[in-house]
Amino acid sequence: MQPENPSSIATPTSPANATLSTQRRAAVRTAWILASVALVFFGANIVAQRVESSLIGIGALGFALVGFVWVVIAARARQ
Amino acid sequence: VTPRSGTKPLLRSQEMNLQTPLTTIGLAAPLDQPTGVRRWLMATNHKDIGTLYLCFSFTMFLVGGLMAMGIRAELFQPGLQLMQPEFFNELTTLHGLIMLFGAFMPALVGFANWQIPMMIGAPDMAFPRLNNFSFWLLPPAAILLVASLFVPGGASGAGWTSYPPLSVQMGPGMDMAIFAIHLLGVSSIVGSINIVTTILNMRAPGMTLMKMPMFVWTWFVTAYMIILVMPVLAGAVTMLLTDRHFDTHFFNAAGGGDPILFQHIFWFFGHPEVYIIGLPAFGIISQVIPTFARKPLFGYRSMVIATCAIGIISCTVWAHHMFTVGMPVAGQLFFMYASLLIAVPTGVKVFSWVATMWEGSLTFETSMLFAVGFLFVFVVGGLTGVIMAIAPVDIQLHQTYYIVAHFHYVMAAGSLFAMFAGAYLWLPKWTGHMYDETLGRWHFWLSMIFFNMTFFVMHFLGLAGMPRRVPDYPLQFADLNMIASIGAFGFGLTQLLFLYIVIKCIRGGPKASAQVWDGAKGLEWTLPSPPPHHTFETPPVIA
Repeated sequence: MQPENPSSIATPTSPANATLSTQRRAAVRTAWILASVALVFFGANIVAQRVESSLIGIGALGFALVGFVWVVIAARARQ
Repeated sequence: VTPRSGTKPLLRSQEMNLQTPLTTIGLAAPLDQPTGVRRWLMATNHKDIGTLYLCFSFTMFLVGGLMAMGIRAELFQPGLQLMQPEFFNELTTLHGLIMLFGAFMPALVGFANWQIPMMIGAPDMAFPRLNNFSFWLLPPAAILLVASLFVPGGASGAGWTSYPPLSVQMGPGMDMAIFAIHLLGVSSIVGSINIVTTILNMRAPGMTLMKMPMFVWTWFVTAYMIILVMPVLAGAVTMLLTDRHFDTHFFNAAGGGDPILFQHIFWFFGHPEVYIIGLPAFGIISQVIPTFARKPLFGYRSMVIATCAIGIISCTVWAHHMFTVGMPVAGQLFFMYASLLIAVPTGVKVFSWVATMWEGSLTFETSMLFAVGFLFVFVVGGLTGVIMAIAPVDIQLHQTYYIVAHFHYVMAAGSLFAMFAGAYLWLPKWTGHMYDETLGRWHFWLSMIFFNMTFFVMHFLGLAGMPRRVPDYPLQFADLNMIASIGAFGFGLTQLLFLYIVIKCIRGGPKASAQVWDGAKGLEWTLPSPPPHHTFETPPVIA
């Protein structure tokens, strides 16, 4: 399944679907989603201990896992 | 232009690359790039930053190694010879922190920086300036850690785990360690975001996820794990900091806090950390073995699934580090079974590596020697891990040298041998020169002998009841400790040989071809050796 070299590599072409700017926008969007997951984990970790509510921990996990999947699916659906 | 007789013509991008004057390891910059110190300070090229990471990590490896030698020198004989117990604790703490956060993780990020864009056909990382930023966070963190030795009260002596209440009572060295962890954490998170974004958005046309090389896959999963668990560690040490200076009582039992809570939060990070270092090492081995077995990787799809499974399960096993703390039987059973379960995908990987070698046209260049050596030490470490996943056994062996032996087999040798395998595999590609194979073999065999001399005997020390993190011990442990100390000094000195081999390779040697190894597969081998400063300006198309 690994890419064969060099027999399976065709001649180069310019990117078919994505211009550099759309690629850049997609990269920035991905980075912000990932950064927000990290920030939520950092903040919720402290807040959950502070208020001693397990709901916050579960909420953070939910946002990070379900929310991330939801955002990815929604982005794909728009395409 | 044809690369060798009997193969297809080179890509247009390769032709362009071949017409570019080749420069050693890209150490001489093209005309449009800054030169001298500015080139490295302001580096945005993934190869330059990869080189910076690798140089930094090897420097920290030597610093952490020196500390290990200090520890082993003290333990050479019973009685206090060289240092006070407090300083021994400081060395133990800094050795752990420096090796994990300063040496192993940056080294693997260095490999990722060099290889991932070339392997997926990308011109660079998604965010080159962010890449520069994440590297330059590391030196201040390293300075904080090492400089903490010289502040009043010395460095943190609470162990790399920084358990309260000890860590709440330490001097300013503990604050420096906390800030260092913050910086290292930010660096890792930013670097991981960059890696995930690069892999998701910058693959060459036709390079689907299931066509990615295993090294890229393992880093893909690892980067997600870092994004999930590193903020948790940052939160834990932030709470520690506020407990120390702002009168909060997260972990202070006297104020209603819970010190055990810190252990749970820490190990929610700490156990995945083992696989954060382990998975990219697995990825390197998955590139090395097919190359020198001259066969495709056995069970690529199973390997991908196993990698994801390890990533997920590793987040559910943290409390096996805490069996002795005390927990309900149901909790012990859950974490015991989950820990045993993780052996299944790991076993799939070992099986696939062995199956790849089966009936392959094997040759044993230094890279392959280290890969086979990795299999040996990793399986030993893995099996002792399975033994200790069983709660009643762990309760007996916890806090003994058996644990020290186990995690050095898994983390130290496991990842180190894999990184050496990767370094010898890609060194000719990076430098444009072949390394000295004879010296490489010496490096392997000396490393293998001295490593086992150091750590194999520790299993027996642990089984005999020698506790870890002590500067002194009863006379009955003297002989085995002496063997371990001699091995440690030999292992440390052997790594200077590696430094010599790398410098010699950078300075010259037989020219390496683009393909380098006849069994090598993947996009990076379509580039000349060394690859030009800018690669894949026109993306290749994968059929």
